[in-house]
Amino acid sequence: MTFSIIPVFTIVLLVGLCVYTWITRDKDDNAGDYNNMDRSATWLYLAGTYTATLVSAVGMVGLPGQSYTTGYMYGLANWGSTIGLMLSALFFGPQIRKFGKTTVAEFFQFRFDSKAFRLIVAIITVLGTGAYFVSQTIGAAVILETIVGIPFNTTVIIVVVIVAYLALVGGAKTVTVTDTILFCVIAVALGVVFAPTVIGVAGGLPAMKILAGTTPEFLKLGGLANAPFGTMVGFIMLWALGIGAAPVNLSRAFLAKSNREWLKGMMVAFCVTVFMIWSVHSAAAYGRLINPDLTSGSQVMPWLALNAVPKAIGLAGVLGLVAACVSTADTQLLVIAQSSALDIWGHIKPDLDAKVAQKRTRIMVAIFAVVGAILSLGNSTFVVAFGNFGSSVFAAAFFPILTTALFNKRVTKAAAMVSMIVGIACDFVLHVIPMTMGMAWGTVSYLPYGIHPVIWSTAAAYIALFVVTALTKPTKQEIAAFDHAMAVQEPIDPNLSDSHMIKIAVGLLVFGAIFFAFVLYLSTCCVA
Amino acid sequence: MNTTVIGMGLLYLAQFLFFGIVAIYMIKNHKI
Repeated sequence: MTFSIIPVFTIVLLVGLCVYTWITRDKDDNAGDYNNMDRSATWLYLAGTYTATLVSAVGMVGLPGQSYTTGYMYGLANWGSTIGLMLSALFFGPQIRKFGKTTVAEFFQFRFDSKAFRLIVAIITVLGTGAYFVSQTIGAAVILETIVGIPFNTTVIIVVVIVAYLALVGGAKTVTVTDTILFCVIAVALGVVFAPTVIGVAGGLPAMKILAGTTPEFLKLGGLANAPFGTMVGFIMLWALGIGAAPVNLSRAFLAKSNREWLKGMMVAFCVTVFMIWSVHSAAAYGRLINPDLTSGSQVMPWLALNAVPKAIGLAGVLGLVAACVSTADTQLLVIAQSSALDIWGHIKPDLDAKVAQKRTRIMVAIFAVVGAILSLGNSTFVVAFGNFGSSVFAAAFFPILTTALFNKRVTKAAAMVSMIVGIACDFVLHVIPMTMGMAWGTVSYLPYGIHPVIWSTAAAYIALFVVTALTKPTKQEIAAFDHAMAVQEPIDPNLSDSHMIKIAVGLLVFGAIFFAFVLYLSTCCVA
Repeated sequence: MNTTVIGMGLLYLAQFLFFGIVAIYMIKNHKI
């Protein structure tokens, strides 16, 4: 059923782009705005851009699909990224802001007094985020193809044109504003309107008793796949470490007006994300009660939007899904372009002029949009798998360095470099080995207890880092750079007093208590 | 009660508690 939403959807899209063009009309001439929003983002924008970037096609379509096909809790267990969010909020974000840079690679250059380091980090960032951008584009195109019935290759072009337009015209400031609007659309349309309606249509929370009676494995952690406990812990860690260390997510901290704005925004982002995850995954799992016969998990959310709910609510679901894809892809494209323009191109041909840097970033947005479209057109399963590999690379390459070098001056350039190389090499080899055994790239079942490669490679990177740190001494420049950054004491934001911030933190705890009460009720429904 | 569901809920509850308590500590001690 192709649904009569095509004209409505097209109108909403066109109106959105017109509004966007109007918002961006006078933002062209400020390079600071374009690259890091002149460090002026307040909590709402930070919550908006972080959540909208985190909640992606993978998160709102792929993982809920696993809650439909394999198991309710199995899908939810893939969301370790809330742990990464928390680590960024409390520790990485405030600390990396002290170094006063625009990109994560720039921080590495400053911390280790090495231009080469910046170049390597930038290349890893571009490759890892680039692959993830392509898998995101493919995900968005598949959703549009399912919903509006246009051929896949046409929807790829539509998605890339929209995303490139957002990043090209706007830059960091307008991408952030757009992300915040899309974040509201995602949270309300998907989390508040669409998902609860699906659950209601399926018979409400108590209906889970039916599944608990017929297929009890569906509610076990390993799901119908009977995945070992080690694999499930590995999934959680993959996203916890990967999202905590991913430059596209961590770089949101550079936009913040103050540390307190950042923390407040992230506390809000955390509550909204947890609510969204449970809401959408529940809808997908309840989808099994409505139609258990879909062949692919990624079809479940679009299918439910088109067939299971009233058309207006289905439209809300469709808009939410498309918003989730676009809002992740635009930030990714901008970060890829910034890394390649400021860090890689800037390395080859340095030019301090902000206008030139802005122009270069725009050129790179256009180039990567074309490259992304070409790679997406094939809809290669390898590209999608490689996109997910990007997250594990960030975990293995950057997480050990961030947790140590951000806080301790003893960590040397040599130690960081060796740790990065060991982490990436180990991760890559463990992903490739299954292919030599006739299994798919990234299969984890051959490893002891089925523990994901990311855990082995991150552990290896930590060991390498500690050993080389013990064997080497930091240079005077490295110590000076660290001490200089640590001497920066950001004044307490006068707009966000202690009592106000504590109220927000207490609000987070109350939200957590309400959430857990809901889970306790749900757990009574999940027994036969 | 389904123990897997409660276990998953506890995983998130632990995050809420950690996030909230550490945030309050950091704010009170002007670490942020």
